[in-house]
Amino acid sequence: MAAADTLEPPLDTARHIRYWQRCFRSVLPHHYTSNDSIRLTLGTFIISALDLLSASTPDAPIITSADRTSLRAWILNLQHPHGGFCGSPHHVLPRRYTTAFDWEKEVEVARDPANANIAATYFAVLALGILAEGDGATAYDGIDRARTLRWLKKLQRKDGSFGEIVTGDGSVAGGRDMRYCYLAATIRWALGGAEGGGAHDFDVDALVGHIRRAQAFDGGIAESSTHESQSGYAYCAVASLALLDRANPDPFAPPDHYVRTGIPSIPALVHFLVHRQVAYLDSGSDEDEDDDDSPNHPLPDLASLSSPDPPAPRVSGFNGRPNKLVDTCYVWWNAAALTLLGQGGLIDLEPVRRFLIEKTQHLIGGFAKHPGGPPDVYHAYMGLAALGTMAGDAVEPGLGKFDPRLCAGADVAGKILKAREALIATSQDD
Amino acid sequence: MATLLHESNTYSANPQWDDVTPIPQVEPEGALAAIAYPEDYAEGSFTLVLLADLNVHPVSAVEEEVVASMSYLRAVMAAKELSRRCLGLTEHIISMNPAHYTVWLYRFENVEALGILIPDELAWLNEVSLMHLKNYQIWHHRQQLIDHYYPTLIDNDEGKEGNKDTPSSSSSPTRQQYPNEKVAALAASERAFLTQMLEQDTKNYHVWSYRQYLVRKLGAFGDPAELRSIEALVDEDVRNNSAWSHRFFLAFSDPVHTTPGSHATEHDPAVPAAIVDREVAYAQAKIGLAPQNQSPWNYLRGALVKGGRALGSVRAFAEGFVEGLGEGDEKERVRSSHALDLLAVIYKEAGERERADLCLRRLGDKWDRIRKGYWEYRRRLLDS
Repeated sequence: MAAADTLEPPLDTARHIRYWQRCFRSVLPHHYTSNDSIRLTLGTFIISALDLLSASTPDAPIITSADRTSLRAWILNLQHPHGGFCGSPHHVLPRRYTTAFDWEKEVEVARDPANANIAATYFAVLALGILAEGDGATAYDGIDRARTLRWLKKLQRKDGSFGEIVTGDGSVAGGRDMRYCYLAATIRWALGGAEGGGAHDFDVDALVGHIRRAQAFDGGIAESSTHESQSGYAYCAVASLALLDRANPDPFAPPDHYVRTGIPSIPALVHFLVHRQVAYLDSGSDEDEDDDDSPNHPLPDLASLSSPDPPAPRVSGFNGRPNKLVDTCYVWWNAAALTLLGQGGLIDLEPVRRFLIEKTQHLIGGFAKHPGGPPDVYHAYMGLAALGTMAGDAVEPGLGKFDPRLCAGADVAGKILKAREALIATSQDD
Repeated sequence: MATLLHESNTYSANPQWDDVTPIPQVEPEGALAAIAYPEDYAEGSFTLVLLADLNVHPVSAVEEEVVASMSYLRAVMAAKELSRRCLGLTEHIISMNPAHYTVWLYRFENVEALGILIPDELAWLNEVSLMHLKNYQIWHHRQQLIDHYYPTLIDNDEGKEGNKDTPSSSSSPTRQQYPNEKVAALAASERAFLTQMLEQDTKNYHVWSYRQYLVRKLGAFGDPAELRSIEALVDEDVRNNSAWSHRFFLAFSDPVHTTPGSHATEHDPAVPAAIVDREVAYAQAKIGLAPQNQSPWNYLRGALVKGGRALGSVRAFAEGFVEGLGEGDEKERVRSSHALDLLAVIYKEAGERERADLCLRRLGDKWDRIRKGYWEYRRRLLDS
């Protein structure tokens, strides 16, 4: 991997800070209404981006201490009294509607359990880590660890998979979706699920078995068993396993025990991931931005490689599935999965940086999904995450060091480590 | 049935809603990711106070005492009311925010309580799905509807024992797959709708995921129309990887001739040789049409592994895409980098290390330079 301080073209951090400041201080336009249930997700991307970019402005904090206090309060207000977090204020009901009494078991239970959501809980845990001051030890003050872990355990199905919400009748709703596995593994690590004992920890072996079944015939990993391989799901699988390893309480276990157990063939997965890198050909694809990813990636004709020493493509991106168009977020999903497998060095870095910085970076800051498109919160964050990840052990100038397991800055991971220690210690005092 | 019941956008002005006290969202100052909601979504909620500072929205909107749909939805969901008007309200919310993660479950409860006919709800859902192509929740609602509907098709099947032996009305000579005509009809109507969805986006992941669910649920593995429909998609676009993936599922997950729980990446001895032959030949024919298309190459390898066959069994086939390798630029002709990749594996397995190494070197130096680092890594693995 190239030394980070020689990277060309450079990332124009000032432009990105302006984009994220706008997202942070103003109101998102009305077409974000369909994201109303995931405001916590959008919000976490916003503060995490500013956190990463604040590496370039060490003397003037972008998120002030006052911001941190009020944002923490806003996030903790999304916590459901019976465990887990809600995705937005529209999913938080007044107190009298959130608790019922179970006369049979003689205990208080959630009256509206479906408002607590696994993705929201992951983003809350991450955001509280980002917003923590000092070493992070107080980040999880106010989180009901026991209830959240018990709720998380209820989200696991018999086959090891996780759903998105627990419904009123106790059933698990949502797809058998690899993303939920990742979210569950992160929450478990951050809140010390492994240290919580049987009542508070989910079935790790069942989860690993479920992930293992999802590797497809082409080496990639799908949403779940027998479905189509896709790099985003591959990342979620690998990162889930990496987080289970990180949380493994067994001091004698190898550091990649679960990664090796949960992926039938790592070489086949690497083969799938590296093949997602494809040349970016300018012709015509700019007009397709609204058509999303339906068209095929244009294949170069091998017959055209007639010269004795053909050049490697000057610009290349990543797609998520064979024959699909390159897309900003798939640079992140593929690069992060390869990095977690210890193979980040296989990526030809410079053509990919050109794709992000010359093609999808927007004039007003942020990144678009495809070249020529408008920036959005999700792709703008994934672009930064991709650059942070590809820097490897170095850093992308202007960005903080990145932790591809958490999809956040490495300092955030450090704070969460402190926060979880404090959380576990307090629980033991109880 | 569920026609547009929400013609009035101002619930507070509608006498039908007089008995409901809306629950607006409470939002302190400094909230994260506030959205400039359209007026009929969350008008009157405290979020709009923030907008007043920014002049992006008329301040008067706050002052109007109109409390809109979200506040009413929160109120009726909290009261656990199930009624026609609630069904209409869910439709209104879904039209603005189809990704709302509890409104769909609530809609289903209403459908169930009101005894809405499932075909009517499916017809409504078809229209909504075509309007929100990328939505995820829609497909779980559909799955919930089919889970609810399917048992009624089986239970109402009078004399179903006898039915099993009667020949299918289809003229197809293949095995009969559906428990009865009603299930067959549902499979056909669902397939027609999925075809319509795929016309909008042939690689829509949610649609393909649902399609796998449906094939399992209704037992459509052996339905020749299912395989024909997938072949038509591949004929139209031989690079449609989603269609290839679905074909693999049909061929190698059919419970009639596969081992339950067999991993996609392992040999399944239960798969008949004729199926493996058919799938290998199909992939080879499609490779011939577009040799640089990765999908059928992946498929070919997958089919060989499933069938427990050595990759070396397609050595001659793969060599057909490569001429004069390493014999200089005049003589060297490669029609597929994927053939070279596969040959590197085949030669390595055959103990022909130098030939394998040559394939990998030529990939990195000329035929697939974008992955130079990867091909070098594969060269290092040759000696491990």
